[in-house]
Amino acid sequence: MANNIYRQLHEQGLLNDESYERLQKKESLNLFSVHWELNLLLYTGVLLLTGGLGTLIYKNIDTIGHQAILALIALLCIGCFYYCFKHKAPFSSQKVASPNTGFDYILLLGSILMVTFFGYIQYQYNLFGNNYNLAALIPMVILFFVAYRFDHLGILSMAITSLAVWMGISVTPKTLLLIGDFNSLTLIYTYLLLGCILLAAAWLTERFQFKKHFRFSYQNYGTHVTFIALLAGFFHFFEHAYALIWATVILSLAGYLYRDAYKNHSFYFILTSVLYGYIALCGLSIRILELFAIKDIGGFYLLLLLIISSTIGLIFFLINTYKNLKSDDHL
Amino acid sequence: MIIYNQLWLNNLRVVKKLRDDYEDGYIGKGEFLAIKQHYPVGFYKPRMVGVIGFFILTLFALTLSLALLSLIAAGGNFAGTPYWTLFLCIGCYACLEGMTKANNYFHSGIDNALLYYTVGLANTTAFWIVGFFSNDQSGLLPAFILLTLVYLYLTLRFADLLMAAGTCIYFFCAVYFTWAKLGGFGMATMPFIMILAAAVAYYILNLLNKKSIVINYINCIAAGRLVAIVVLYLAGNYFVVNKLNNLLKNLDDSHTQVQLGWLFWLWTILLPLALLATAIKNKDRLFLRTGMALSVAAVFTFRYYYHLLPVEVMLTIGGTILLLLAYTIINYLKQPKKGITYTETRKANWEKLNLEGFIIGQTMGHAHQTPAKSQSPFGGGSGGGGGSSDSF
Repeated sequence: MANNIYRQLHEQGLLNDESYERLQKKESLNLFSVHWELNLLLYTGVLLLTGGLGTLIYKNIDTIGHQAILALIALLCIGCFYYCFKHKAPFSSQKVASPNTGFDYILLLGSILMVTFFGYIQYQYNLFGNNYNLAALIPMVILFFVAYRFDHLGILSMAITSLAVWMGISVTPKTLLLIGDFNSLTLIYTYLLLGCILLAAAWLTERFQFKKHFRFSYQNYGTHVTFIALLAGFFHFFEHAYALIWATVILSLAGYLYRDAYKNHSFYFILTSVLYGYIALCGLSIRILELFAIKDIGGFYLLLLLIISSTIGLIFFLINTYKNLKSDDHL
Repeated sequence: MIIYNQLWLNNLRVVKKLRDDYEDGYIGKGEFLAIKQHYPVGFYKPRMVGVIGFFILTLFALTLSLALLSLIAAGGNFAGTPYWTLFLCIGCYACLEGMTKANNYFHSGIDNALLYYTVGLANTTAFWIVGFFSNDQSGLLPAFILLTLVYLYLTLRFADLLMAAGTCIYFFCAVYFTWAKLGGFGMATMPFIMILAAAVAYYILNLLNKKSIVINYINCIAAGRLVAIVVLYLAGNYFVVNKLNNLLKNLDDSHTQVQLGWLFWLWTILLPLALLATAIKNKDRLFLRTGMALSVAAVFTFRYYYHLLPVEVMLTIGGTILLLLAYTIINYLKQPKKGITYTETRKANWEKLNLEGFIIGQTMGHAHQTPAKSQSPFGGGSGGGGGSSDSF
């Protein structure tokens, strides 16, 4: 079937001879790649092995001793980083391809071991005392350094997470939703600060063309953290006149990020900024309806109708935006 | 039968194929653009992010709309009957038809949401009418037959994967309940009948797979084949047979013997291996992945009945074996053997998204929270162990 398509295209003059020959060769080779499957096998193997060994050590901790395990972790960690420094590619402010397939995984293993080492030593021996700040700061600095030096997006995500831990919160989305306590104002302001720092980092990355491909990670974490903090603030002051200020900030930030995303052709960020803005608008209209004391069933109907029609409007607005984006897009 | 524009479907197939070739560097940009212009596709189909966003928004709007309608109707006698859901179902389907035709949606998220809402309401109606919700489960059969037909129609109309899988699942349910009507004899021979039904279904789907008449439904057929293979395996799996047998004879779980046990053990262990062997021979990715998944099921089944070693020893040994196996195969396939290779011939689409960083942040982020929280008895050191407990 594929060959028919190629022949047809070739006859119509849409494929030149050289491409046609290449494609035919590819079809006749009919290579079957088991890359994904073998990688899955490898990954499962590592997971089972570490799980098994971890449990074995855990059950025999009395005979092995903490120092031996710490020494083992440190040794492995140093080994990983030694390998990485030996095989490193020269630093550049642009994207750097990793020297070989295994490199990224060894770097990742080293980083995880390093973080584990610090966590372990703090838990078991209380090395930093009650100075938790310091215990979180050191791994974070190392992680940021490693992420930039070796150009690793995964480690950058770890570094951003540990920045959040260092600021006294966890930015991991799972925890953000599950055990997030949005009632305390200090937490909200900390989140807000963190989000702003991340958004600023995203902007600076782009502005100075320094590791430009890191921008997505900063922007992604930054957008969600800032908006969630802002919404938490909005609902915290829901009954209060301050709510209006929070809503204004949310809407203007959403507007700014929308324009920015539109410029960068990122439908993902258009979607997030529009959705967060929409949530704020919904909250605001509920509040206004409440103020005018429409509390009987009629008010409820009105609210439902409002939300339904605005959601449908939102869908059509997004469809249009997507079409406009696509007409600029040449592929 | 299919709702979509036939010419555009053909064009889409060409463009999709050539887009892959362009991204892999087989053809130049100019060529691809010319082909795209020559084979216009007028469907509205956003990328993955857009599809998910539209899907969620449409679900939200639909839920609220139906809630509002139900609320308005709640005063009358009509709203408390299955005919109300049937009415809503028909309304949804009308919207789906109208909007898909008017706006040329093609699996764009909006039509998906409408479609799934329609079948959800159809399911509710069918089960409500046959009395599923009033604990009278004797007459389920008509619902299964009806739903098989509804799903089949929707599959043919919208070429949707989930509809195709649903058709197969309801078909097997219908077979099961029909045979169960035979009473004790029916239940005793159930595994064989299900194996037979799955084999026949698979055979027919496989025959269809090569016909040009189903060219728009290739993915649907793959979904159907997948369901058929899984049913084929489960019907003869020792664990499933054992549990059904106990259920039938009102025995508790301490009974682990069934008649013809050796046959079911052979089936449990050998079928995944046979799938893997066939996959390698025919270069069939569906078989390969299903075979891998079913091998895991076989291991779990075996482990359920025979505790040879403690869990952690088994994990360690299993992990080592898997690592060695993968390493050996990768080394062996450095040079392609018989058309099979370890090198990537295509980059999977999801690899272009920045998912890796996100997932690593998710799973590893907890490792260094422990100093502040000190909840885990083992501190950060059990990061690996924590990961395994999820998977095991």
